[in-house]
Amino acid sequence: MVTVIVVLVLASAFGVWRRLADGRVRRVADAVDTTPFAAFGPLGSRATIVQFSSTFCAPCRAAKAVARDIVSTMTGVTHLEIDAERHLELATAHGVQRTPTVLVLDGRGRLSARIVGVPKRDALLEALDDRRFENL
Amino acid sequence: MQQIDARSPRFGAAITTLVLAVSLIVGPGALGTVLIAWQVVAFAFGSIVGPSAQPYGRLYAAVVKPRLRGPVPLEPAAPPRFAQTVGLVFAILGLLGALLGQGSVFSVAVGLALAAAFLNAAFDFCLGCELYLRVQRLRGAVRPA
Repeated sequence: MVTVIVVLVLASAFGVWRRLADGRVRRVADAVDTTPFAAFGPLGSRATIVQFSSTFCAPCRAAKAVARDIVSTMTGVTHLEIDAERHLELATAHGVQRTPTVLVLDGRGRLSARIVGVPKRDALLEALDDRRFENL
Repeated sequence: MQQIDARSPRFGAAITTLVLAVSLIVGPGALGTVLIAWQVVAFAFGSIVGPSAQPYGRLYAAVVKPRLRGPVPLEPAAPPRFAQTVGLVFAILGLLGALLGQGSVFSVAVGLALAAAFLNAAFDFCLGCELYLRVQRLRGAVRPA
Protein backbone atom coordinates (compact mmCIF):
# COMPACT_ATOMS: atom_id res chain seq x y z
CA MET A 1 0.00 0.00 0.00
CA VAL A 2 2.77 2.39 1.02
CA THR A 3 4.68 1.58 -2.18
CA VAL A 4 1.65 2.40 -4.32
CA ILE A 5 1.14 5.73 -2.55
CA VAL A 6 4.84 6.64 -2.88
CA VAL A 7 4.81 5.75 -6.60
CA LEU A 8 1.66 7.76 -7.28
CA VAL A 9 2.86 10.80 -5.30
CA LEU A 10 6.27 10.83 -7.02
CA ALA A 11 4.69 10.33 -10.45
CA SER A 12 2.21 13.14 -9.78
CA ALA A 13 4.99 15.51 -8.73
CA PHE A 14 6.89 14.65 -11.90
CA GLY A 15 3.76 15.06 -14.03
CA VAL A 16 2.89 18.46 -12.57
CA TRP A 17 6.48 19.68 -12.91
CA ARG A 18 6.52 18.54 -16.54
CA ARG A 19 3.20 20.25 -17.25
CA LEU A 20 4.64 23.52 -15.96
CA ALA A 21 8.05 23.22 -17.61
CA ASP A 22 6.94 21.87 -20.98
CA GLY A 23 6.53 24.32 -23.83
CA ARG A 24 8.37 27.11 -22.07
CA VAL A 25 10.44 29.31 -24.33
CA ARG A 26 14.06 29.63 -23.38
CA ARG A 27 15.77 32.58 -25.05
CA VAL A 28 19.24 32.00 -26.40
CA ALA A 29 21.50 33.98 -28.70
CA ASP A 30 23.84 31.52 -30.34
CA ALA A 31 25.47 31.58 -33.71
CA VAL A 32 24.63 28.31 -35.49
CA ASP A 33 25.43 26.77 -38.83
CA THR A 34 22.07 26.91 -40.62
CA THR A 35 23.26 24.93 -43.65
CA PRO A 36 22.04 21.54 -42.34
CA PHE A 37 18.59 23.00 -41.64
CA ALA A 38 18.27 24.46 -45.14
CA ALA A 39 18.28 20.88 -46.46
CA PHE A 40 14.85 20.35 -44.89
CA GLY A 41 13.13 23.33 -46.51
CA PRO A 42 13.33 27.07 -47.03
CA LEU A 43 14.51 29.20 -44.12
CA GLY A 44 12.25 32.15 -43.26
CA SER A 45 13.41 35.70 -43.87
CA ARG A 46 12.15 36.71 -40.42
CA ALA A 47 12.36 33.44 -38.56
CA THR A 48 12.42 29.68 -38.96
CA ILE A 49 10.70 27.26 -36.59
CA VAL A 50 12.81 24.09 -36.59
CA GLN A 51 10.99 21.13 -35.03
CA PHE A 52 12.63 17.85 -34.08
CA SER A 53 10.08 15.01 -34.06
CA SER A 54 10.05 11.23 -33.77
CA THR A 55 7.74 8.38 -34.72
CA PHE A 56 6.63 7.49 -31.20
CA CYS A 57 5.54 11.00 -30.41
CA ALA A 58 1.90 12.09 -30.30
CA PRO A 59 2.70 15.60 -28.91
CA CYS A 60 4.85 16.25 -32.00
CA ARG A 61 1.62 16.52 -33.97
CA ALA A 62 0.31 19.11 -31.55
CA ALA A 63 3.59 21.06 -31.84
CA LYS A 64 3.34 20.88 -35.62
CA ALA A 65 -0.22 22.24 -35.52
CA VAL A 66 0.88 25.21 -33.39
CA ALA A 67 3.78 25.95 -35.71
CA ARG A 68 1.74 25.57 -38.91
CA ASP A 69 -0.93 27.86 -37.53
CA ILE A 70 1.63 30.56 -36.79
CA VAL A 71 3.33 30.16 -40.16
CA SER A 72 -0.01 30.66 -41.94
CA THR A 73 -0.56 33.99 -40.20
CA MET A 74 2.96 35.47 -40.29
CA THR A 75 4.93 36.39 -43.37
CA GLY A 76 8.59 35.47 -43.57
CA VAL A 77 8.25 32.65 -41.04
CA THR A 78 8.69 29.00 -42.07
CA HIS A 79 8.41 25.67 -40.28
CA LEU A 80 10.79 22.74 -40.81
CA GLU A 81 10.23 19.31 -39.32
CA ILE A 82 13.20 17.02 -38.80
CA ASP A 83 12.96 13.33 -37.90
CA ALA A 84 15.32 13.19 -34.93
CA GLU A 85 15.83 9.43 -35.24
CA ARG A 86 16.91 9.59 -38.86
CA HIS A 87 19.05 12.67 -38.26
CA LEU A 88 20.43 11.67 -34.91
CA GLU A 89 23.71 13.54 -35.39
CA LEU A 90 21.99 16.84 -36.06
CA ALA A 91 19.65 16.25 -33.11
CA THR A 92 22.58 15.42 -30.84
CA ALA A 93 24.53 18.45 -32.05
CA HIS A 94 21.65 20.64 -30.89
CA GLY A 95 21.21 18.87 -27.58
CA VAL A 96 17.83 17.34 -28.45
CA GLN A 97 17.05 14.88 -25.65
CA ARG A 98 13.39 14.27 -26.31
CA THR A 99 10.73 15.18 -28.82
CA PRO A 100 9.25 17.55 -29.69
CA THR A 101 12.09 20.06 -29.33
CA VAL A 102 11.68 23.31 -31.23
CA LEU A 103 14.45 25.72 -32.16
CA VAL A 104 13.79 29.22 -33.43
CA LEU A 105 16.26 30.68 -35.89
CA ASP A 106 16.08 34.40 -36.45
CA GLY A 107 16.30 36.07 -39.86
CA ARG A 108 20.07 36.30 -39.58
CA GLY A 109 20.43 32.58 -39.04
CA ARG A 110 21.11 32.78 -35.34
CA LEU A 111 19.51 30.51 -32.77
CA SER A 112 17.17 32.75 -30.77
CA ALA A 113 14.97 30.39 -28.76
CA ARG A 114 14.60 26.79 -27.65
CA ILE A 115 11.42 25.03 -26.56
CA VAL A 116 11.24 21.50 -25.19
CA GLY A 117 7.74 20.00 -25.35
CA VAL A 118 4.73 21.38 -27.21
CA PRO A 119 5.27 25.15 -27.52
CA LYS A 120 2.66 27.41 -25.97
CA ARG A 121 1.28 29.41 -28.90
CA ASP A 122 1.58 32.88 -27.37
CA ALA A 123 5.07 32.22 -26.03
CA LEU A 124 6.24 31.02 -29.43
CA LEU A 125 4.66 34.04 -31.13
CA GLU A 126 6.49 36.29 -28.71
CA ALA A 127 9.76 34.53 -29.43
CA LEU A 128 9.22 35.05 -33.16
CA ASP A 129 8.21 38.68 -32.72
CA ASP A 130 11.57 39.54 -31.29
CA ARG A 131 12.56 43.18 -31.06
CA ARG A 132 15.62 42.37 -33.12
CA PHE A 133 13.39 42.07 -36.17
CA GLU A 134 12.72 45.79 -36.06
CA ASN A 135 16.23 46.42 -37.24
CA LEU A 136 15.80 44.34 -40.37
CA MET B 1 0.00 4.82 -41.08
CA GLN B 2 -2.62 3.12 -38.89
CA GLN B 3 -4.79 5.56 -36.94
CA ILE B 4 -6.63 4.91 -33.69
CA ASP B 5 -9.02 6.82 -31.44
CA ALA B 6 -6.68 9.00 -29.34
CA ARG B 7 -8.84 8.55 -26.22
CA SER B 8 -8.52 4.77 -26.23
CA PRO B 9 -4.89 4.46 -24.98
CA ARG B 10 -5.62 6.80 -22.09
CA PHE B 11 -8.65 4.77 -21.06
CA GLY B 12 -6.50 1.65 -21.26
CA ALA B 13 -3.80 3.30 -19.14
CA ALA B 14 -6.37 4.04 -16.43
CA ILE B 15 -7.36 0.35 -16.24
CA THR B 16 -3.70 -0.67 -16.36
CA THR B 17 -3.02 1.70 -13.45
CA LEU B 18 -5.79 0.04 -11.45
CA VAL B 19 -4.62 -3.52 -12.21
CA LEU B 20 -0.98 -2.72 -11.39
CA ALA B 21 -1.86 -0.80 -8.23
CA VAL B 22 -3.96 -3.69 -6.86
CA SER B 23 -1.21 -6.14 -7.85
CA LEU B 24 1.36 -4.05 -5.96
CA ILE B 25 -0.89 -3.69 -2.91
CA VAL B 26 -1.61 -7.43 -2.56
CA GLY B 27 2.04 -8.28 -3.33
CA PRO B 28 3.57 -11.22 -5.22
CA GLY B 29 1.18 -13.82 -3.79
CA ALA B 30 -1.38 -15.79 -5.82
CA LEU B 31 -3.67 -12.83 -6.60
CA GLY B 32 -0.82 -10.43 -7.36
CA THR B 33 0.79 -12.98 -9.66
CA VAL B 34 -2.46 -13.62 -11.53
CA LEU B 35 -2.99 -9.87 -11.96
CA ILE B 36 0.51 -9.20 -13.30
CA ALA B 37 0.24 -12.28 -15.55
CA TRP B 38 -3.02 -10.91 -16.95
CA GLN B 39 -1.33 -7.54 -17.50
CA VAL B 40 1.50 -9.29 -19.39
CA VAL B 41 -1.15 -10.80 -21.70
CA ALA B 42 -2.83 -7.40 -22.18
CA PHE B 43 0.46 -5.63 -22.94
CA ALA B 44 1.51 -8.46 -25.28
CA PHE B 45 -1.63 -8.01 -27.39
CA GLY B 46 -1.15 -4.23 -27.47
CA SER B 47 2.52 -4.55 -28.34
CA ILE B 48 2.67 -7.52 -30.72
CA VAL B 49 -0.72 -7.28 -32.46
CA GLY B 50 -1.39 -3.56 -31.96
CA PRO B 51 -3.51 -1.19 -29.85
CA SER B 52 -6.76 -2.27 -31.54
CA ALA B 53 -6.25 -5.84 -30.28
CA GLN B 54 -5.44 -4.70 -26.73
CA PRO B 55 -8.16 -6.00 -24.35
CA TYR B 56 -8.72 -2.57 -22.74
CA GLY B 57 -8.85 -1.00 -26.21
CA ARG B 58 -11.55 -3.50 -27.13
CA LEU B 59 -13.44 -2.71 -23.93
CA TYR B 60 -13.21 0.98 -24.84
CA ALA B 61 -14.47 0.35 -28.36
CA ALA B 62 -17.34 -1.86 -27.15
CA VAL B 63 -18.52 0.00 -24.06
CA VAL B 64 -17.14 3.56 -23.83
CA LYS B 65 -16.91 4.79 -27.41
CA PRO B 66 -20.58 4.23 -28.34
CA ARG B 67 -21.52 6.54 -25.44
CA LEU B 68 -19.25 9.40 -26.56
CA ARG B 69 -20.46 12.05 -28.97
CA GLY B 70 -18.66 14.46 -31.24
CA PRO B 71 -15.77 13.98 -33.65
CA VAL B 72 -13.28 11.18 -33.01
CA PRO B 73 -9.77 12.52 -32.37
CA LEU B 74 -7.37 10.28 -34.29
CA GLU B 75 -3.68 9.65 -33.65
CA PRO B 76 -1.09 7.27 -35.12
CA ALA B 77 -0.99 3.85 -33.51
CA ALA B 78 2.82 3.78 -33.21
CA PRO B 79 3.28 5.82 -29.99
CA PRO B 80 0.80 3.85 -27.83
CA ARG B 81 2.13 0.63 -29.28
CA PHE B 82 5.64 1.55 -28.20
CA ALA B 83 4.29 2.33 -24.71
CA GLN B 84 2.67 -1.12 -24.63
CA THR B 85 6.04 -2.68 -25.48
CA VAL B 86 7.78 -0.80 -22.65
CA GLY B 87 4.97 -1.88 -20.33
CA LEU B 88 5.34 -5.48 -21.50
CA VAL B 89 9.05 -5.54 -20.59
CA PHE B 90 8.38 -4.29 -17.05
CA ALA B 91 5.35 -6.55 -16.58
CA ILE B 92 7.38 -9.62 -17.63
CA LEU B 93 10.12 -8.64 -15.15
CA GLY B 94 7.46 -8.26 -12.46
CA LEU B 95 5.94 -11.65 -13.31
CA LEU B 96 9.35 -13.33 -13.24
CA GLY B 97 10.03 -11.69 -9.86
CA ALA B 98 6.76 -13.08 -8.50
CA LEU B 99 7.26 -16.58 -9.95
CA LEU B 100 10.89 -16.84 -8.77
CA GLY B 101 10.13 -15.50 -5.30
CA GLN B 102 12.08 -12.28 -5.82
CA GLY B 103 9.74 -9.87 -4.08
CA SER B 104 11.92 -6.80 -4.58
CA VAL B 105 12.22 -7.41 -8.36
CA PHE B 106 8.43 -7.70 -8.45
CA SER B 107 7.94 -4.45 -6.50
CA VAL B 108 10.42 -2.38 -8.51
CA ALA B 109 9.24 -3.61 -11.92
CA VAL B 110 5.52 -3.29 -11.14
CA GLY B 111 6.16 0.07 -9.43
CA LEU B 112 7.88 1.48 -12.53
CA ALA B 113 5.13 0.15 -14.81
CA LEU B 114 2.55 1.66 -12.47
CA ALA B 115 4.31 5.06 -12.58
CA ALA B 116 4.36 5.00 -16.40
CA ALA B 117 0.71 3.90 -16.72
CA PHE B 118 -0.42 6.47 -14.18
CA LEU B 119 1.48 9.30 -15.92
CA ASN B 120 -0.10 8.22 -19.18
CA ALA B 121 -3.61 8.15 -17.71
CA ALA B 122 -3.43 11.28 -15.56
CA PHE B 123 -1.09 13.52 -17.56
CA ASP B 124 -1.23 12.12 -21.10
CA PHE B 125 2.51 11.59 -20.71
CA CYS B 126 4.35 10.44 -23.85
CA LEU B 127 6.84 7.76 -22.85
CA GLY B 128 8.04 7.24 -26.42
CA CYS B 129 8.98 10.93 -26.68
CA GLU B 130 11.15 10.61 -23.60
CA LEU B 131 12.76 7.27 -24.20
CA TYR B 132 12.99 6.54 -27.87
CA LEU B 133 15.64 9.07 -28.82
CA ARG B 134 17.81 8.14 -25.84
CA VAL B 135 17.49 4.45 -26.66
CA GLN B 136 18.38 5.14 -30.30
CA ARG B 137 21.42 7.10 -29.17
CA LEU B 138 22.55 4.28 -26.90
CA ARG B 139 22.09 1.77 -29.70
CA GLY B 140 24.03 4.09 -32.00
CA ALA B 141 26.84 4.22 -29.47
CA VAL B 142 26.97 0.44 -29.30
CA ARG B 143 26.44 -0.32 -32.97
CA PRO B 144 27.14 2.65 -35.26
CA ALA B 145 24.66 2.86 -38.12
